[in-house]
Amino acid sequence: MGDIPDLRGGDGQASARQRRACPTLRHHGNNGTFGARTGGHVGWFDLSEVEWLGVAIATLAAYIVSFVWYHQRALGSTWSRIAEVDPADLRDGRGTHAVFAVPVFAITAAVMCVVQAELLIVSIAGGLLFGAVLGLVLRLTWGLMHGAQEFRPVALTLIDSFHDMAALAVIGAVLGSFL
Amino acid sequence: MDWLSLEGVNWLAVAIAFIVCFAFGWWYYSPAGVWNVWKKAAGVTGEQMEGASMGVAFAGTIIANLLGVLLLAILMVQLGAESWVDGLVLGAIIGLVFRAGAHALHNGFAIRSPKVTLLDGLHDTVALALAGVVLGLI
Repeated sequence: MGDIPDLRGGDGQASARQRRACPTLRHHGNNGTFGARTGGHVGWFDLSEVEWLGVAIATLAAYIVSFVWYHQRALGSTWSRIAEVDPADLRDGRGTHAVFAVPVFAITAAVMCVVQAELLIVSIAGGLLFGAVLGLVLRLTWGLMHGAQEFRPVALTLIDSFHDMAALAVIGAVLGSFL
Repeated sequence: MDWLSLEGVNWLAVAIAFIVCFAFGWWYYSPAGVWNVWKKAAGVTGEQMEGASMGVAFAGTIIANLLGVLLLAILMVQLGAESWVDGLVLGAIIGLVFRAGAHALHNGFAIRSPKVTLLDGLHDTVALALAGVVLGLI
């Protein structure tokens, strides 16, 4: 390691916060080698970076955001009307859909955790902005693209996309506090 | 926001990746691709097509593809994902998690055909994976 201080733990890896404190250890504790890959694996994707408790809490937080966002007293009734979905049908199927939403949020949080750890996004504000940018580009613009192709009401896409931005921002913020 | 930097982004690669991404979408949603199956599953009618503003749809597609490719390029630079394999994996993961995941979530609640979720999710995943390959190659 030469004159690079060894901040890595017993597992040979530096934590995201340690790497942020020592820029020469950026990118997965690989002695500063930018983009180093080992053993044929993609170096930046390492599940050992995942803070699983943070992922669990981020998943729960995103779920709460969804629950509040689509509540009948919030945007739920407007959404149902625009999407032409009978609230009764939604209530009947809610259990199924709700269960399905959890793994989607959890996988999203796990992937965001890996990326945030690699990019050293280890603050609440940083995570919030990271999630919001992902939501803006990958949910809002792509959502509008598909919405236009399918002749869906713009208001519906906006409700869904801004929900996604909020959920991803919350996930990022929670993960930022854990990393 | 250190990560949100255009430094190191290869603009030629971004331009070519955007063209590849756009061209793939053009083919995918054409009659040679999945158009007929998708149209039926999405419930798109000929009447809607006649009254549609193609300019708006194209503009939206161009903006979405451009921003998606640019974000992918920024993430590849910042993550040190330098090869086409890195680009393929990163693009596919982003497409699968952030795009197909969104389709699954929203189409599920809106009680829409699972075929739409599958076809749109597949398009987004492949489009971003292709963009990643191009970004890694150039």
